[in-house]
Amino acid sequence: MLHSTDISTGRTSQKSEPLLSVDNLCRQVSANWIWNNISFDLAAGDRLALTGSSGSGKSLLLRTLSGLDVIASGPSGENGSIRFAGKSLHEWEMPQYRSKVCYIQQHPTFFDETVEANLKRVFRLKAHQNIKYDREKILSRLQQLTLPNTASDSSGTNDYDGFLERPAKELSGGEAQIAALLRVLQLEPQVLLLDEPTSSMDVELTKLFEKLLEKWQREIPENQTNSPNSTPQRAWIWVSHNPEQLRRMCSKTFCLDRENGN
Amino acid sequence: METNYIFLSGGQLLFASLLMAVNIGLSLVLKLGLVKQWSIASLRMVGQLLLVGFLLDWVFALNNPFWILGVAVFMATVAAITAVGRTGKRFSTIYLNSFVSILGAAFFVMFFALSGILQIDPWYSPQYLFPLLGMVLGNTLNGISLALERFMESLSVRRKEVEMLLSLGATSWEAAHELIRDALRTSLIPTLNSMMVMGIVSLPGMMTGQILAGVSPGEAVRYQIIMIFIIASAAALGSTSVVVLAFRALFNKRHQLLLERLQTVT
Repeated sequence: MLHSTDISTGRTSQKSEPLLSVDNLCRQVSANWIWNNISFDLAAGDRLALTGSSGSGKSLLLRTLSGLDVIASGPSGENGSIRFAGKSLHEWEMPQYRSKVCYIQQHPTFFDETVEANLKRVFRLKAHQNIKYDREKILSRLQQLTLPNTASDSSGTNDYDGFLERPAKELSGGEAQIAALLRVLQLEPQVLLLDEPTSSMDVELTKLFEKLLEKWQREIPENQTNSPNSTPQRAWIWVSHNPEQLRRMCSKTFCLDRENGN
Repeated sequence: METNYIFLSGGQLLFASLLMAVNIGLSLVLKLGLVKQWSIASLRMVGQLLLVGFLLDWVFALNNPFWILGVAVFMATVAAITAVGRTGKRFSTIYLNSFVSILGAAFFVMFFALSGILQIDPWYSPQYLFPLLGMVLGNTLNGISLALERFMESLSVRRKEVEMLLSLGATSWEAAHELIRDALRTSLIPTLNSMMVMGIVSLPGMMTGQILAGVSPGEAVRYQIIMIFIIASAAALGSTSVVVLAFRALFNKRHQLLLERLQTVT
């Protein structure tokens, strides 16, 4: 069980409608039921750790939550459901839903072009036509990460422009995970589904990455600046094999092993 | 025109088959182990062609639109099944999709060519319909086969890329667009290549046949030009149709990629 000092604990009970609500999800792979009748709520501002042994279906659950997989009916025919922001998944247009509940693959994929071209590419999608690429914002987020060795010069200063100009396919594992986060944050998501987001990073970079996400969570989204409610609305579900990290970054835990009684 | 034409007797055909004896002899001497295959292939070819000649003579004589179109649909069915036969992966409606695409593409171009360009009356007149249809089906079959194979293969190989786009808010069409384009380009390479070197590297079969039958080369070339346009158009229509149908079968309205619907042929 995780004990957290985060202030967001307990706030969930004050909310009437959870941000994301999962009811009775089941998942079968071949003949085996990976998980059965999973139900939990994620309130605005929640930081949920998703745990479970290898093969317990953590990534599958994130995929399902992001709407990439079909919600299967359970062994006795029961229908699982996902609700987000007061609407059931079926009422959502998937591109809109997926821009609000963003899934980041553990090993992110990029097109064979520069990092910046990859970041800009998302704005070609119909769902994001009303938002624009913001280079300044990307650079300021990169600055928070103080990426080591992104410059080709030996002066030791960081060259953030240089990072954006690099071919995305040549990024190291950790750098790719950073680029993937930057790409997704452009969409102003409300929920992040993070699948081992720092698995390829060293200790220092991991700390900076966590700081960036904490800051992101506290930011008030631009379209809600006049809202009287200034408590964090953004939430995440975090999968990690590092219990220390989950203790730092999460205030609640949902364990897949326990749910299945394994 | 008829003056130049040589009618072939059975003896002449038998004499031609001596060429196959050369092949078989070579195989025996060099121990290539191809004797059986050469024999079967020769017999099949002769049998199938004699049967087709017989069948077409019969359909020509009947000159009944239902029989003519019936035989045409049968030919398209065989082409549709053959097009799927070469692919390494399958999904449940693949044969239907192939059939709809090949029949739709062939019917469209044939109708356009026979009643629009050649202005034959009636447009299903078998003397024109069957030779053209045979060439159209052969080429469309190749296009469909290549397009299906490429599209299904890249969906499985590039799955992460597709799902990355989907999870960033792409519609299924946006996520698969690159793959669809790639499949269509691949499927139309043979058609484009053969158009590029037409007349230089290859003298097409139909033109050669007409010249043999006594038509002047200048005249035969005109038919060939029309024929190439028909073939290219049918191949493009058929490939596009089959890829779009495959796309619709492998994604759902919820913009989810349903790769579990793809079964690898063992």
